[in-house]
Amino acid sequence: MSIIPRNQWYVAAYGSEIRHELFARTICDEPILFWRTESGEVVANSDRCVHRRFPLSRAPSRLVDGKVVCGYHGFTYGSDGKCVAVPGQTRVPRTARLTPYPVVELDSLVWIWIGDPALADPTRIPRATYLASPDYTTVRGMEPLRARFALLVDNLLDLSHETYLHGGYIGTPEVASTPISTEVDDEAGIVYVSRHMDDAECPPFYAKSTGLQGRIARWQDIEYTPPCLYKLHSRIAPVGSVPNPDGTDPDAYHVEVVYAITPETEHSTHDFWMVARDFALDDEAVSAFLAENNRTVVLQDVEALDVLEQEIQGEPEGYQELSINIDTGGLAARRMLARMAGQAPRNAPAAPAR
Amino acid sequence: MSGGIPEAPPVLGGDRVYRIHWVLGTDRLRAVCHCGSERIFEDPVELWEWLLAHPDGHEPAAVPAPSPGPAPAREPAPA
Repeated sequence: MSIIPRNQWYVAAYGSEIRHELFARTICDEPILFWRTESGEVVANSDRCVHRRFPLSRAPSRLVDGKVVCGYHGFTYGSDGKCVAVPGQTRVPRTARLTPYPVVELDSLVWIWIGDPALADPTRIPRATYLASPDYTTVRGMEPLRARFALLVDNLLDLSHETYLHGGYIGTPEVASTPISTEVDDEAGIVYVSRHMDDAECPPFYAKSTGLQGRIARWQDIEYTPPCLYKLHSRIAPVGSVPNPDGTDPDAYHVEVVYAITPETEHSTHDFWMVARDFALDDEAVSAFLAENNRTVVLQDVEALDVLEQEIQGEPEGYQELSINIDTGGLAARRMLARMAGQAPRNAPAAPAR
Repeated sequence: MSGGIPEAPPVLGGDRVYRIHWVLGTDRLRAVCHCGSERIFEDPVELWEWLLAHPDGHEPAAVPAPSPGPAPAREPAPA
């Protein structure tokens, strides 16, 4: 049975990746063809010709006058997926149509609906407006992960691993040793995990980007909206500084670390990562530093999770793992994901029917 | 600033929010159901089993009493 929740919005790509040319990506085990129309709209259709299933993303298939022409026999499709021409005859079979996918471009991200198109509600897409805001500068990347998406969710919901896996980058002793608080809203579909370190060592990632020296107040507030969007609201400030009652926070540096966790297959994942900051907006050196270091951190996770995936695939049925306090948020996320996929979760009870 | 870390205030404002606080200075977790029932745990799996069993085993303790006196240690709902 699939562990991938369907009838959900997933990030398929960055908006900047989709231009007026054919672009292919497998999302939730479905090969999908994207392109941007002349009017600037991103469209998505199944990436297999209905005739002999040749991938339309593969040369010599090509985009001609806003239509995709199959490189095998010339079947030609419009941006809505309808076949408009077949070779050697004037009649186009009525069923000749690619499967179109609902797509929404929002906050610099291309979201795609995987499931019944009739259920696609764009208002359910979680937002990260700072990714497209002039008040922030964002660096980003995407790494292929040869592991199931749930392992990345586990990883990101428990940041105590930073101390061990990411020492010298973002990990310091205080991350693993500071208690967390966890909130779960089943109806809204949010898992929120807070770790507020009010007197902590400043890791190089933040010392070099903010210029803060010595000890800092470091707040990590995770807001995960299963299945895809993970936001880490990171607040870096001098020790003793707290936000004003009106919400302003002039002494702090804010870094919004965003992940879009999109299953490619049951055992592989598109690991989209973004780092948005509200300081040093035009400083190219800070951008380059954050991009390089965050990618290094992501690759440390990728390496570990790739190993974990192989271990899990080779383990006997019924392996029992152990969970401790740091896993409280991760267990909540697993439970929500399992419910979305119609499964009973491992090591976490399913939510009661509502 | 003192060295103490205050218990994090609630963030989510829904009607069915579960809250789990790591009891400071201990290894224990305090689970707070949306019905107001609370219980201390040392295992997050057992904690979730209890929370999600609502209303089974949940006693609406700490109902705000109309009488004066110190308020129970519960957080106000956020605006």
